Formats: sequence, structure tokens, C-alpha cells
Amino acid sequence: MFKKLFQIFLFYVLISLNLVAQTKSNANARIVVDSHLLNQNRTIPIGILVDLENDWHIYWRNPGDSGMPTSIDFDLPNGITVSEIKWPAPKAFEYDGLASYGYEKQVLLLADLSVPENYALSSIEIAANLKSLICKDVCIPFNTTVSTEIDLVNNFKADDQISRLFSEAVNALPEVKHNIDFSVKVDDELITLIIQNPEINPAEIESLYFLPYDNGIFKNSIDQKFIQNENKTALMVEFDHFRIEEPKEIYGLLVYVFGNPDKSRKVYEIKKLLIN
Amino acid sequence: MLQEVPMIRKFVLLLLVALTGSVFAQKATLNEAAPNFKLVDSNGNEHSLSDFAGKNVVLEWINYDCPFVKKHYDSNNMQNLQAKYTEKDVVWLAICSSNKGKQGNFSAEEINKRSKKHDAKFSAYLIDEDGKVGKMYGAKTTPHMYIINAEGVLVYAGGIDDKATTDVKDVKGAKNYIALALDELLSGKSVSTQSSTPYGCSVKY
Repeated sequence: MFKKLFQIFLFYVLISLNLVAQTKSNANARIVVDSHLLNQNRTIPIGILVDLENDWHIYWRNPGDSGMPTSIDFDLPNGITVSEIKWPAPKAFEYDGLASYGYEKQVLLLADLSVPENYALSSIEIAANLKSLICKDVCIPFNTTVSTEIDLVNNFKADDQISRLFSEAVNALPEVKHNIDFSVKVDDELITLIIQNPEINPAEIESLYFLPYDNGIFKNSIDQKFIQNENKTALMVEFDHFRIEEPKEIYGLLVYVFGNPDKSRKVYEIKKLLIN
Repeated sequence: MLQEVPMIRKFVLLLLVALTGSVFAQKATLNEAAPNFKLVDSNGNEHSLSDFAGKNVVLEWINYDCPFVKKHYDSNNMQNLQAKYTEKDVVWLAICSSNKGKQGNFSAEEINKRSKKHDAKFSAYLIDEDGKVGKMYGAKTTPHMYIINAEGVLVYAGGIDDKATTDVKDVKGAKNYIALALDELLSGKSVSTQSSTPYGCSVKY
């Protein structure tokens, strides 16, 4: 009898502990590695995969009006180097006239690990320190260190699900090489980007907006006015109300949203130094 | 003719009301007169910005449950700033624009309990439940800081410092824009850094 009561007690304790664990983990992160052939290429595609509970989001490199930029610092063995993080184009969250930029549900932040030829070790452990904030109607810090071991002798075949995530993340990266030509007109309250993009049919554009990499110069909003004139598009981007510096450059993402049923997007990275 | 005087008075009065309305609807802008407001504090006392004419005033947007606000209160950074500058006759107004039912919206009793627990040294904790003052000042985050000089001009709008994290360890070594600006104002200088990017939780309008 006592044994049975103890088993019931233990059962409820375990259920309660599990519930506590579930409510506390609104996000989790891990390092994932894509397939690679070390005998052909000494670059290993890796990523920080962040999974979020429903309704929570994590921030882009520019968080927008609130939140904080997600940052990743790698801890690597001597001789191993890693590229800059490659950020998929974010989603915008707008409430009460304030806009933030980030990712919901799941995001894979990509990077490339470089291994020198004739590297002495046959395997390495890499770690990444993730500093971030996750929010829904409230926010909590999400800081964690994740690590993984990587074999440097044998070629690696990732499982299909991971390879698919890498493929989707690569497709969500902004296009860096493109034929966009643009000029910039700076006024008191806004800038106007005069854009020529031979890859886009202007008639298909439903909305167009510029997301700067740096915060504080421009008003955070994806509700930006644009005008079509033959093959040129004029996009007006308002300055932040409290901006005191002139923009030194235009550097960020140009996002086209098309009026098709899927509301598909095309995202380009654009950069131009502004010389007065 | 006798009847025209009241008509003109009425017109002037309407014009004044319209102008006053537009003054209250104005948006806070750097290097311009800070828009006036009237709010009730957590002890039931009413305060207008105009009550503090002739004094430097700090506005601190607050939400005690926001991790960024906790960073600055758990480290005593905010209280130390409040104590240091209120002793130098600076008026420090914490303003909460959290709407009813939203994070950071507390009863007056709970506000005073938490303020006491933190040993907060602000001059008053003002309740802006409908968010009108927050929106007039363009407050985006908690904390979001503003400084109004003795002439009533807005001279700073932005973050408390340059370390946009929730980590208490980052308080030390951060460039504190509020201390910098107040030190300059109190020594008769103009504010050298008038704006920075605020960081924190969104204001829960």
C-alpha cells in the first residue's frame, strides 16, 4: 500500500517537474552542421538553430524600436576561423506604431567554419555564446552557450531534415550580388532612394521597404511610401524623429513584397556611401 | 456693435483652445520646448512639467518587470543616478505608460511597495495609463530617457547608456549618457550627446 502511494506521489512529482521545465523553456538553441566534403573543401557550413515556442520571437541584427540585437561569439580552437553570421531576412512586428525585426518559430543563423590544410587535430569542439532576448507580450533574456564536436577526418552527411533547414536558410538570405542601381536624395525629414532593378516587374510590387543594418538613423517601419515611374522606383524612408547625425551610408536590406497569393518576397542587400 | 465684442471674444477663445490643443498634441522634439503634461503620481499627487520650470528634469520610462529595467535597478545603477542628481536639485520623474492589464501596470500600493524594495530615489513615479504622455514624447522602450533643461527645452532623448544588454555586468564600463548630460548641464555647458538609440522592452501601450 505504502509502495503504491509512493509511486503515485513520485508520478505527480515527475509530471510537475516536467511542466515546470516546459514552461521555462520558451526557446532552445543548438549548433547544427550541414553535409561537407573535407577532401574537396576546407569550409564547413554550420548554423545556430534557434527554436521558439509559439508567439515568441528573437531579434535580427537590428532589433528595431525595442528588444536587443542577437549576438553570437564563437569559442574556437587555435587555427580555426569562422565567417560573419549570415542573417536571413527578418520579419517585422509592428504594434502601436513601433516596429521590431526578428524571427518567429525557428531560425537558422548561418556561418562557415574554415579549417586549414593539414590541421593537426582529427576532431574539434566548437562553442557559441548566444546573447539574445526573446519576446511575445513580455520579454526574457535568452543567453546560452551551445557546443558540438566536429570530425575533421571524414566527410560528413547531415540528415535530410538538417540539410533541408540549411537549404531554406540559404534561400532566405538577401541577394548580395545583383544588378540594382540606386541613387540617394537626402532631405530634412527623409531620404529618397531612386531604384532601378532590372530583375523586378514594377507592376507586381505590392510593398517595398528598406531595413537598415544600423539602428537610430531611420524610423523603424515597413510602411514606406514608394512611387513607380517607368523603370524607376522612388522609395521614401523617413528619418528617426530624434536623429541628430546625417546618415553616412545606406546599408541594409531592400525588401520587395509581391501582390501574388503567397505574398512572396525578394530581398537584396544594398550599400552606398553618402558623400556630401 | 455691442454684440460684436462677445463674438470676437468667443472667436479668440476658440482659437486659443485650438492652439492649446495643438500644443498638448505636439510631439517632443530636441532643442524645442518640451511639451507640458499633467499626471498623477503613485501617492495621488498631481504634477505638471511646468511645476518644475527653472530646474533640470529627467524623465525615465519605467516598467519594473522589464529585464532591462531590472538590470539598472538590480545593479543600483538607476537609484545611484537618481540619488546623485536629485541631491543637486534635478527633478527625476519615472513615468509608467503600461496600459491596464499589460506588463508593468500596477496598483499604486504595489508601485510604492516595489519602489521601496528597490530604494528608488526618483522625485515621483507618474502613472500614464492611457499612454498619452509616452506617445507625445515618442517613448519606445523601458528605460527610455529624456532630459529637459532649466529653460524647459528638451536636450536629450535616448538610451541610458551604450550597452544594449540585460546583463548587470555591463553597467560597469558603459558610457552613461544621462550622467554625462547632467554633469554638462550642471556645469553650465551644453549637452554634447543629445541623442542615442534607446534600448529595452517595448513600452506596453
